[in-house]
Amino acid sequence: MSQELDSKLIEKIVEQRNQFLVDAKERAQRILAKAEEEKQKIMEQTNKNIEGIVGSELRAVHDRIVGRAQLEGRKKLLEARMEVLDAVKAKALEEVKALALGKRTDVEYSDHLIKLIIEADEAMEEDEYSISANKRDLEYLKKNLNQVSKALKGKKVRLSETPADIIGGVIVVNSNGTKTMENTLEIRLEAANGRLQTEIAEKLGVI
Amino acid sequence: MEMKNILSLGGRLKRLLAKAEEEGRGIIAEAQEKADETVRVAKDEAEKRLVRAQYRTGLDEFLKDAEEEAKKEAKRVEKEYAKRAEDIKAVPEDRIREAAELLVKEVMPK
Repeated sequence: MSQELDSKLIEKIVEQRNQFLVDAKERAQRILAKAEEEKQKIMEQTNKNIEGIVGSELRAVHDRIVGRAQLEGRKKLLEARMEVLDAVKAKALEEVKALALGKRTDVEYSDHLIKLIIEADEAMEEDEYSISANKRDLEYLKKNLNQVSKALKGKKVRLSETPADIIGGVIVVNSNGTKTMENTLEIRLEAANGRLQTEIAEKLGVI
Repeated sequence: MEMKNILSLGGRLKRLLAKAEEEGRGIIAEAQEKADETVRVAKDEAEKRLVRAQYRTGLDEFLKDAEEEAKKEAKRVEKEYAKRAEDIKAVPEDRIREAAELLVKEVMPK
């Protein structure tokens, strides 16, 4: 009976001893983990503080490198847009040339030629004009001078002897040479291109 | 005699427990010391880094990291713009013709 008591007591004490050690080890682990956590917090806080101190330098580095890339990128976009818009303009010029040569069946160029003269007259409001055009258009105007005169309500018209080096359209000068209106196709194309560039870019979805 | 034995056993067990307690305290004390050292070293290092930053010494180390990050971002930006530029250039020919026609109409007097 006594021996049994002894062994139970020993067992209990040993168990208690082991528990002491287990508890101590667990507590030690918690202490170390907490210290590690604190170390991390200190490092993070330090990094934040340093960022606050040298932030402007860091931002400057970022802005210099990323800013340059953005600038280059925007330049590339602009070049790409210009490439497309130039292609549109080149195609339009090709079409205008074809039109002036009467190669397009959907447009009666001679009617437009007369309208270009009327437009110049409306802008200049003179009584007498000298009209210059390319060789082909001058020949047409010579053959149809009455039509021109009628379109200008009987105003006096003189056709230039020398053909102008233009795609089409007219150069209209008043009698004393003080007013000139270059209503040529190339000048009108330039003007139209300038006016419609944004609209075209939007239509093509390149803006 | 038996009583003497019991007392003797009790004393031994008590000592065993006391020893275990002491061992446990030792383990905890050692851990605490190690923890204090860890925190102390971290604080020291933090202090040194802060001072270096304040005096702009060792700034290169931060700038180098920032530069690396910025370079990565710049590459992403370049790639994005290059893709957008390619998309712009990929306008189909028929749409170019349509747009050109818009100009041609504007060239001709109304």
